[in-house]
Amino acid sequence: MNWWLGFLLEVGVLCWALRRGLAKRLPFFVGYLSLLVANEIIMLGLYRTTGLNSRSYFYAWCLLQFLCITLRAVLVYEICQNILSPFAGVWRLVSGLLFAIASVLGAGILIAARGAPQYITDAIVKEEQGLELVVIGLLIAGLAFCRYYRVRVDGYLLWIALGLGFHSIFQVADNTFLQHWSSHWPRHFVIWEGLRHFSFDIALIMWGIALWKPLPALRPAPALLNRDEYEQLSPLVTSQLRKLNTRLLEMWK
Amino acid sequence: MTVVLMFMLAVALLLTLLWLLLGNRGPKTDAALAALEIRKFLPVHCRHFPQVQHALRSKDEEFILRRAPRQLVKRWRAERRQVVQLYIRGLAQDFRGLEQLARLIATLSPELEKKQEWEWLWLGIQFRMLYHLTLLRFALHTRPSDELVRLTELLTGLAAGLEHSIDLLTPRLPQMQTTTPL
Repeated sequence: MNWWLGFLLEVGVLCWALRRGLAKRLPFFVGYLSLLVANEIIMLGLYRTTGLNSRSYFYAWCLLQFLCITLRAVLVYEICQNILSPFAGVWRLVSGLLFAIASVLGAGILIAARGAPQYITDAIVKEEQGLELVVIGLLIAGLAFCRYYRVRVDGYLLWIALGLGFHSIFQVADNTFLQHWSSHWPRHFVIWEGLRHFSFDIALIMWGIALWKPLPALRPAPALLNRDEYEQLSPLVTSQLRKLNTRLLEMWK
Repeated sequence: MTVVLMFMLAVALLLTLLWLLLGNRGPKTDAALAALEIRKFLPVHCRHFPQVQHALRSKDEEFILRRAPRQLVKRWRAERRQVVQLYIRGLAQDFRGLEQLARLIATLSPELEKKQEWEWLWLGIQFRMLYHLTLLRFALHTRPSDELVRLTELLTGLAAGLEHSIDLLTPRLPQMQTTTPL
């Protein structure tokens, strides 16, 4: 029953996204929703044919999970691009920084994985947790840049980002639960799985809210300053801000 | 211990995410107002310095010390301190306006200088620290420093210097306001 509900939600959100024409604006998001539906069908097929404890089921699960999380990280990048790309200079700067953040977080995961756990399942859970942290890190950094430059984020993008972030954060907490209470709690796996589905269903509902209203019309890109104008204006503002700080500092002497 | 830390991290991340997302829903500005709104970035509080300066004159203090009862002097000093604090807060608002102008310039630029952006970020952090420390200093001292005069002169000069920037940016605003809240 729970599985069917989740599956129907996924199909519903995918159909709604296609109906709203989201594929033109966020192709990776629509690709991700399609992958989710495909994931459910493949896993159900394997479950029926090979069983829950088969190797093929396990490897397929691992591969699809990896693909989903990777696609979520790409999706975060896509959201940031969607918001910031009309501002060419800012986007050029931010995209480079997002790559740098992803690389640092990725390297952190690899370093943390050096003391690899004994069992492969534990290692997978740890890796998954690390990748989710990369997704959250990228999302928070991207949104922080939007806030810093005071770029308005459309309502539908806010809900999509919130759904993504909520699920990833919940996953981190859920995986922590799995790693530390697996030995104390006989029904730990059921609870872990239940929480995982719960957070994902909440995310799907948030995405449903995002697509409830028609998407806002695309805005024309702003007319940018010339290179000369930027070179003329920015040192002026900088020098004034600098002077103001120096003066405040002098008040302390 | 690690478990508690991880849960705390998860809560902190969720709160940060909510703060970033909910704080981004700025009010929509009318296109016609945009050009006027940008003028808000120019320093305004520093223009009221003559009035503040008048309130801070040492001659006034001497006069009140001679004539008024002790309790009234105490109240007068407290009020004067409050005026200075409000004025410093106003100067901070002026700084924030300039900071917004700097970010507006950045969003409208085809290419950004990394060094420049870091400098603006650093100046903002530095100013906030100094501002709070200065407020604290004035809260502890009865007589404000003459530096306040110089600080105001600086901001007034700044306003004149930035008029040119505003003239350059104004034609871009009708398009800008649909994308960025001012």
